[in-house]
Amino acid sequence: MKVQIHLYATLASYLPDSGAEANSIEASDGSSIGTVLNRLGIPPDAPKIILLNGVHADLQTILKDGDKLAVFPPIAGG
Amino acid sequence: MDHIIPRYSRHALLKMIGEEGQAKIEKSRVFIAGLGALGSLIAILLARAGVCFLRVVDPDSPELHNLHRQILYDESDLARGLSKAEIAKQRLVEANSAVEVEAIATAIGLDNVHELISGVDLVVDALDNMKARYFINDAIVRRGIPYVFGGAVEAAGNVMTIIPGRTPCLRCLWPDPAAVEDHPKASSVGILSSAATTVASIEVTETLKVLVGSLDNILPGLLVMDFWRNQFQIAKVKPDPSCMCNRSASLPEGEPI
Repeated sequence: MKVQIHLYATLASYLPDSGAEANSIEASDGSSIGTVLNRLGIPPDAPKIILLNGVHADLQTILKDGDKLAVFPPIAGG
Repeated sequence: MDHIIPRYSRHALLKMIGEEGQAKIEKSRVFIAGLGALGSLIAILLARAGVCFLRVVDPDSPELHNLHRQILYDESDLARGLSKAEIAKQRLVEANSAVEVEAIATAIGLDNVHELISGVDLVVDALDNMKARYFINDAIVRRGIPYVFGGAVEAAGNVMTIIPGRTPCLRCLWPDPAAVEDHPKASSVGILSSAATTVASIEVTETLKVLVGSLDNILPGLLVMDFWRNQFQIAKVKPDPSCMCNRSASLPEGEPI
């Protein structure tokens, strides 16, 4: 299945193609968000906000073909 | 006799504000939580827009490493022994003598957040930590006060306008405060000055939308921006049915959520 993934701010360096707005990546059917992020090298305990198709999700959420995943660190400085 | 152009004419001429909207701005009362990079520009622009009352709160005094982005303060302020709040009040009143500024040099905590959000129409986020943001979120949800959330770090920023009862709140987005407390900080990853001022400007725009009653035009979600990597996205955030913001409306004042 194919999943679109956006990684922002300090997480952007984990994208395979950091110049692209989003990456379309292949994942096995039944993969969880955690599996996909782990493959990209994002530490599982790094604080992050995960939005799956606009709704916040967690690492255990199972992905479907065509899902849009957005992950960013909490941007809380000021 | 020379014709004097009214002070706020360039805002009143805007179709989205007009004379009526400008009149609303001049009757508005706003609490700006924080006077760092975000708060500096937010306070300056809202004072100059004619907001009639600004409550500005920050516990710190300016330091040298603040000056690259915290535009309320100059080199001469470093040795004055004044708090950011005191200096802000001076600068804001110099910019607009019609604005009443209440300056409080304190941190925001559970013991004072309800008092700090009292008597205002809106709270604008200019904080540098998540803990205080949750104090404010929970308090404004209970009281039904709009809150413009914003944050900036590295070369990125995010903004979301929270209208209790109408939009998701901060806990719909990040349910667990403990999970986001360890966020990247400027002291370790840096902060692009223009990233902070851009986020602040967007927060001012959102504030003005709310103050003039243009709620249909507020951001339809969490605006996430990475300025160096040219990424701009609005992530739609659905209200979480189990969130406290859907339960607190029915609770009496003071009842724990």
